[in-house]
Amino acid sequence: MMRLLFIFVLVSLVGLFIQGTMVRPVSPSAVAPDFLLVLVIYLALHFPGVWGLVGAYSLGLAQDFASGEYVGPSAAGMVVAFYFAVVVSKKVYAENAIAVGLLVMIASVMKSLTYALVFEIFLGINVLITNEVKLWSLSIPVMFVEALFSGLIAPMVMRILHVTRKQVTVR
Amino acid sequence: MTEFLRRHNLLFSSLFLVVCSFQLMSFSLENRNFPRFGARLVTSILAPVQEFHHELFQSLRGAWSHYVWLLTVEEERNGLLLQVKQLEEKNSTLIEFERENERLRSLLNFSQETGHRGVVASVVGHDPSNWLRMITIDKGEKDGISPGLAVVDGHAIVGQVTVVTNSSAKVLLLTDHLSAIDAIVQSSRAPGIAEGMSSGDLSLKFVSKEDTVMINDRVIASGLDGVYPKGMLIGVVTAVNTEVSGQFQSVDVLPRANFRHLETVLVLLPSADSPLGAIESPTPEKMELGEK
Repeated sequence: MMRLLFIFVLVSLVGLFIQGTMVRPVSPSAVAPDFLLVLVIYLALHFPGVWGLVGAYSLGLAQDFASGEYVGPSAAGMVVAFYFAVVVSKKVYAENAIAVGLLVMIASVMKSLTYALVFEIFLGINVLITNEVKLWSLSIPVMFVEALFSGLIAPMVMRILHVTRKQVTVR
Repeated sequence: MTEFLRRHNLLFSSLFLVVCSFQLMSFSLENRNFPRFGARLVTSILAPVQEFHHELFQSLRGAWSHYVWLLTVEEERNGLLLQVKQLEEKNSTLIEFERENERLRSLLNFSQETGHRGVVASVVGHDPSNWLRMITIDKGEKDGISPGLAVVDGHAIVGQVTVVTNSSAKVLLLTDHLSAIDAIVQSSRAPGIAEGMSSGDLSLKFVSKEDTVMINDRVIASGLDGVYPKGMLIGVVTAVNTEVSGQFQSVDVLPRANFRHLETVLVLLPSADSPLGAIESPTPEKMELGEK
């Protein structure tokens, strides 16, 4: 259990690092896929209980803290995405690459909508329609591009996580 | 109730966490240091890794751009090499022009110093046989050339015109065994006949043993044959042998003219007071009149 926790923390940090570093040198304004969201969906598929939910919430909080401005929007978004993925995985078989990719895409859209809702409620700013928010340049095209990228990388990342988990549990 | 909560624990847990998120959002709006404290914590963990990644990426980018730059450099290098080759060819041509200029200037100076008029001609061929030492020049009758005229290279005697066509002429070199020039040793004024030898050198014959001839003495034309102007350099004495039988000593002379690198010569036109000048040799003006 502790080993899994350690791996979870390590992967979270790697996800934060990748999301905040590797894509930016290519293009500062490029949309980065949400690695942490892929990790949340992985938790939803393989740890669909409360602990998985806590892990998803923690990842959301980590993402908020990494940004350093507002704590809560990403956390709420990750919770919503996690619950959605758990519900869908109970109804639909989501083990093959296409299904996983689609699931991640939809979950990404739901997370973005939750994010926008939090901003609307607390700041009165519609981050999807206008471009007035300087801190989080969220907009509808960006939301869909992020969802697309996340869905594309999800199968590969899931596979890596699955192999890593197997090796950890076998040892 | 408990069963209901248990069956929907995930839903309620999610709702609870969403509410917590809203609370945290509200708290972070009122306390701006709260999210920044967390950001400092996360940044302190990620920053060293990010810095390393940044440096690595910059190095890779630098290496790639250097590689691309090298490709560009190679293309530029090839272009420059081609340009260098073209410039070398051009330079070679210019050097040729310069040398030809020097030769012509030498001939011009010779003509001015000696006061002899002449026609500059280029050597265009050599005699194909091994028995004769002759050259072909690119000037002929139409240029005022006639048989018997002396040919020099700006420094010394080269030979004598023998056969003339309209636009070319043959010159018998003084090193040919058929060539004989009336000569004198400049220092002792010893007379002799400079004849060509098969070795390519000259032999100064009929020099009396009573005359003093030293090695490195200059041998010049006497002017008595009416072909070569008096005082024109033939060569330099390289060997003297007085032990031979008879009343004459054996004198070897090295021709001054560089026959191996003969490219341009000056054909001396006869002056009015020369024996050849008395012979009506065709002048350009006369040839024009003749053509008319």
